[in-house]
Amino acid sequence: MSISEILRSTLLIGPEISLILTGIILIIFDPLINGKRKNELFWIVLIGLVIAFLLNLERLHTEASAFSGALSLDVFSGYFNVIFIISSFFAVILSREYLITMNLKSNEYYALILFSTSGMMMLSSAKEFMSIFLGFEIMSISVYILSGFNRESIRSTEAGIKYLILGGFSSAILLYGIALIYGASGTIFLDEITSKFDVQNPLYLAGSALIITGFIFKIGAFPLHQWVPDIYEGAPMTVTGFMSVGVKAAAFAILLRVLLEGVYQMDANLIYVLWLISAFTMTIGNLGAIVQKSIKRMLAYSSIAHAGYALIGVVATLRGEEIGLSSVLYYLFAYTFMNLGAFGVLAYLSRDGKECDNYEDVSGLWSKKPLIAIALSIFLFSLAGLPPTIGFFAKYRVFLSAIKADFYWLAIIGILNSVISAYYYLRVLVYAYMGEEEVKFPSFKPASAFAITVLTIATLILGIFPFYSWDFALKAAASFLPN
Amino acid sequence: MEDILFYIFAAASVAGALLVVTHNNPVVSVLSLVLTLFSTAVLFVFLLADFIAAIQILVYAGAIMVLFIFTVMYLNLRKEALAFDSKSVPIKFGILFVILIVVAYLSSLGFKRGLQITGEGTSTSTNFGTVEGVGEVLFTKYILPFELTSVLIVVAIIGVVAIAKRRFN
Amino acid sequence: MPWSEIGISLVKIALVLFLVLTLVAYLTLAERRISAFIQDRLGPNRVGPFGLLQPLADGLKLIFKEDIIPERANKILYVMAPAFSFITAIIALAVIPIGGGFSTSLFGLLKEPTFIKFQIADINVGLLYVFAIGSLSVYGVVLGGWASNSKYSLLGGLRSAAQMISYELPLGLSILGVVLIAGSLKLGDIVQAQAKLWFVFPQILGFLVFLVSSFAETNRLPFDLPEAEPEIVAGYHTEYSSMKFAMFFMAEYTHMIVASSLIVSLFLGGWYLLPYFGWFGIDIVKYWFLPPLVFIGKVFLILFLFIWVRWTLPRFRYDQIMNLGWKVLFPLAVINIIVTSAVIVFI
Repeated sequence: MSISEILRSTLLIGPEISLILTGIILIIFDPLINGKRKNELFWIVLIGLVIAFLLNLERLHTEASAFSGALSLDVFSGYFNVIFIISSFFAVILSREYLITMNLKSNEYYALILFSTSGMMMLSSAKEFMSIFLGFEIMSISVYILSGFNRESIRSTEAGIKYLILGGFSSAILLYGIALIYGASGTIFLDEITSKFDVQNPLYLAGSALIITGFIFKIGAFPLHQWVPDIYEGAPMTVTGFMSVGVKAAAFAILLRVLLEGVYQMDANLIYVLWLISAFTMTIGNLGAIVQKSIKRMLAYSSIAHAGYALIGVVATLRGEEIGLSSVLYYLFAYTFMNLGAFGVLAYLSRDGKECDNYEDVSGLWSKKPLIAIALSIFLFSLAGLPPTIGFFAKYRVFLSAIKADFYWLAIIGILNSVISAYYYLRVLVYAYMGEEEVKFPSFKPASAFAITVLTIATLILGIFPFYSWDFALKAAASFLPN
Repeated sequence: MEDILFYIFAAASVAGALLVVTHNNPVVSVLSLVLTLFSTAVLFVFLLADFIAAIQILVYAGAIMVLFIFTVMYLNLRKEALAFDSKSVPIKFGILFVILIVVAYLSSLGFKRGLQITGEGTSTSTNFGTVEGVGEVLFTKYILPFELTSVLIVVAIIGVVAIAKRRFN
Repeated sequence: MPWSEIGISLVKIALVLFLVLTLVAYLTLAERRISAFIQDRLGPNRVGPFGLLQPLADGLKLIFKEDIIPERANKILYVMAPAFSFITAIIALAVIPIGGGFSTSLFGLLKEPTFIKFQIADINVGLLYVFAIGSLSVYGVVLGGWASNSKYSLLGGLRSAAQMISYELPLGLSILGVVLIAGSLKLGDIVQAQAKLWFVFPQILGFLVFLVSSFAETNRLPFDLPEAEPEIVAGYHTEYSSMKFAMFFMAEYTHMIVASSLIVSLFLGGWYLLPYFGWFGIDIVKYWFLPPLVFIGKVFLILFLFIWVRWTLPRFRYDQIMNLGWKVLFPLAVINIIVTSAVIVFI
């Protein structure tokens, strides 16, 4: 690979580089600026994210390969990058006031969010295991730190350490799988592995199983879901929102890439394994969510359940159902808006260093802050999958793909689970609209209010007119599926 | 002769790894880990990977493990803190051991198969494993992972500073 | 690997061991004599002519001394530590070239004349090997300090670990300039690249950083905090006696020899006689015994410098050491790398 080839490749990864550079600028300027003005670096973060978004538009209609095939910059990766950038953009805006409320340092926090996003973007385009692993680690390690960012809080510290240890374990499993595949094939490039793949060779099977296990952990799917509630509950609210959408989408991106490009020839048994995983993930997530007393923990379980719904689409895709892939992509896109919105409302309602956590904490929201209450109900309706929100359309597509791929039972389990989930989502609204306890709510927070407004409108509008964004998902899926 | 040396160092590596998890004195555990890393480095030499071997000793055995031992000494761990359940540990250990043997068996099957099918894997260029050879691929074919590593390290440093720094006000 | 090669290597190893052990013994004498002259005394001059048999007497005394192992010490580690210290010091010498080499058929033992290098192993990663082994040497000191179960020893061990880690960075960075110019990590190649000009001239900054850092790495004054007598008795080897104590001592002097040979090979032209034009035409293939003599002579000069500095400069304070390492030497070494690579690329 010549110098000019390296330069060409470097120019192609503009979005990633702009995020990393923004992060570094933050770290350099943070000590140079004193006192209150430190918070104003916030605008640089937004500018960096907008630049990354604009540079990423290029990827939505071109296809290129960079770094001797290590990165595939296709529409698929561009699509996921949009999800990542949107989630970190809103996470950053929501954090602005939340960080002041919780008395946390802001600039390291923003820098870590940006680095984490760049890691996710690497994952969405990487086609070589070393880059995959490094992207995975850049994303994860930033998030481990963010989870334990609130050092004053025992819960947050506990979440950080737990996530670090368990995540480290899952990374080790992933790495072991990569090592086995490398040992069998002698290469770490997905393309070459695909051409050498031998289903009868136990090394390939064990390797792919370990790799998939590593990704399943990050997705938070059964049987590796136990970490999710503790860590989502302990981490700062906005971080939870960010990682429940961003990290999950990134793990899905790389899972899809490895499944569809690397181990596509895997025999039919893999589909049934994923079928079981999907069914159990949905059910366990929903049953767990019912009994929770804390909204944050309830949303953590619900996020497990949503991973299960998205896995339905993965199963359908493996069966060869083209609409399956686009439904997964669309589901993750939709989930970004509604889940980030729900966490955003909770972040908005946190005050004086105390998070809005229990059901009682939203009691009487409707009478004091009606607009926020409406926004919260739209997000929860969407999470429950009720029309006319984006969540309804996304779920509809996922179940439809399962039916088209002849997985009727999976679709039925999914629908039943959706019905169950309505119970605990609506319970929050019961408290918000009919609760009579005296709760003090914080005063107006402009930045968070802006983010929540945008997310609410998106959840509604995209739910009523889903076709443009759906086409976009279709295009991304079409660019990616092997023929 | 190389065969004999290989078995000696492979055995030392495994023995060190076992000691790490079984010994109840943390300093001895750290030292056993050094032994494991050193023996692995010697195994790298047999694979003609001189550079990796030197770096393995320089970075892991020489730098990282020194920090480990430093921390362990500062912590001054007591016996009670290190006591572990003597009943359940052997059982878990046994289960792990069985899994390990199964995995090792499958891997050996796989490697035999892999070699039969491809027959390559032994083809090496003249500067394979040397500083020049590693540098050449690292800065051309694998430049992306190489650069990503630096991002990863920056993230880790920021994390350490963010968590360990004194309070905000 | 044919048996003749293994045999030759074994002979070389034995020779180096013998040479180094003798040198270590006489270094102790030199240290005492030179310190005496610096302080206007005479030093040990009773045993043998000029005190030349003094090391022998010292050795005998140390062997016959009572070997004490403290009651609550960790016995295995306590015994291992001095050995570890000494071994890691001495195996670093395996890649140091003390001369070019010569051709011989070993008095007809071999069928054809072979070229025998004045170097035990000429490996591709020579310099990295020295640093890798050097980085292990900290364990001996730290373990000795910990296993003794004494507070002075522990403090000495911790100080030593902190100091060695801090100074390994400037030490490693300062040689990168040399490696950049020579284009190789093989010590033989690096010496040969100095045939025209010693690297001390283009790399004066690197040389100074390397010199200071190697003083720190060998725990010599003015960096001998790990064994600072007024504060922590004798640091990590407070509890040691008899031959175990001697081993630590030998390790320290062996470290000095390794550091001096490195300074000579990297910056002072190795076995080349003059700063310019190497051997100005003397046929060193014919007079193959000259280069080793030159090399050893230079090593002696540097060793003298080590001793000289020890008896001239006072000890640093702990924070001063850390400041010097991290805030002065480290940036200087980085600047050296940047300037050197810029010069190589653009000129």
